[in-house]
Amino acid sequence: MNFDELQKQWDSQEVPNEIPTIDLHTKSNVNSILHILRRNILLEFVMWLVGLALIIYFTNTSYFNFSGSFKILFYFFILQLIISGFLYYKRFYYFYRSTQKQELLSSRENLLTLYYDLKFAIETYKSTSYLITPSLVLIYLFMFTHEEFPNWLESLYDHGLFAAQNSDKTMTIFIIVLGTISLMIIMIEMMAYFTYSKYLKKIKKVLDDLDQL
Amino acid sequence: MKTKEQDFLLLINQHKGILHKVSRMYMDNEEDRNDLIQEIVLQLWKSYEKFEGKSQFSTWMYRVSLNIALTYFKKEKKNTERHTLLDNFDKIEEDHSNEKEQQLTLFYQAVHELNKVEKALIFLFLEGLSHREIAQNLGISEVNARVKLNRTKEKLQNLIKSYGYEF
Repeated sequence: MNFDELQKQWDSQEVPNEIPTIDLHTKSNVNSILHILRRNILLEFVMWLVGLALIIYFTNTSYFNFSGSFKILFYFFILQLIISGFLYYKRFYYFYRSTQKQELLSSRENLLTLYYDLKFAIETYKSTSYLITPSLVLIYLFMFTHEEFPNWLESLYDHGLFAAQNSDKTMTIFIIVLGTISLMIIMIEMMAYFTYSKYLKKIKKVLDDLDQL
Repeated sequence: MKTKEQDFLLLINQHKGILHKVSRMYMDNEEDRNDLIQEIVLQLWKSYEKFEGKSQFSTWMYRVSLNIALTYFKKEKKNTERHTLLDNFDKIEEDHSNEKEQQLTLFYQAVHELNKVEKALIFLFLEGLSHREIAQNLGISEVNARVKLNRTKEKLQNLIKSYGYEF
């Protein structure tokens, strides 16, 4: 066998008469990266909306009893959540749009567009998530301590004096704050990796194969 | 609307060879091949409105099909994949009735060991595209396309030889 023979066999190979029945009006449900990413973006967007609604609902129940100036601060936090969500979903929308334009570009241009749109979206996702972490820790601390919250804030402010008088409590506060921040970092990195970054790596691999001399 | 859909399906039917060949190059089992064909056809249909007929339908179809194939990853089921490969080798050994089909099966077997870009290069080469056309489709320089194609052909030859067949 040589390439001339192979070319002849390629041209004369029998292909099935039929192609699988495809309903042109249904959405794709196959296992392509782009389909998985589109599904993940949509799923996360729904989760984000539900999460936002739950936070607003529960913090307005009598148990949490937000009142006065703290309620205003809380609404600012909600605004912060909405703005950060808007920022990264806007980037994901650009990526989503790029996945619909594959017929216009060469393979390399197409891969580059997908890669950078997705990379930019992931970076925005991670940076905005990190930015809301301090506010989230504060809200979490409030939910955890509830009526003791002002005392806890005071103890954080006067940590030197407080630590000398209440070493056990200081340790608890320290563990809660550090634990929440660590948990947030792990969650942000894991969510970004398993939902988006691992697919970005696959696109990068194809791009590298294409660019390799 | 119906007429447009019918025109599209007619064109797809006329060029179904491209779909079957691309899917056979990129996927090693029937289920994955059908999934890839479905993905390509749906993307072609979504983009059909923008197809102005400035280039041939087949040229446009090569571009969309390869762009989809390059970003398509099959379901992760490594054990099944391995079985499929071994089963096909058994079939090659058993079936001596059709030498040409046997060689083609062997070729596809070797192709499945190439990376996605190498598969695209070999596919476009076998479809009779020039180095310039291959370069345009993939978005690389003509020199790069030539060098890469030669390397891929050599790799393919070595793979087939490693199976114990002359190439």
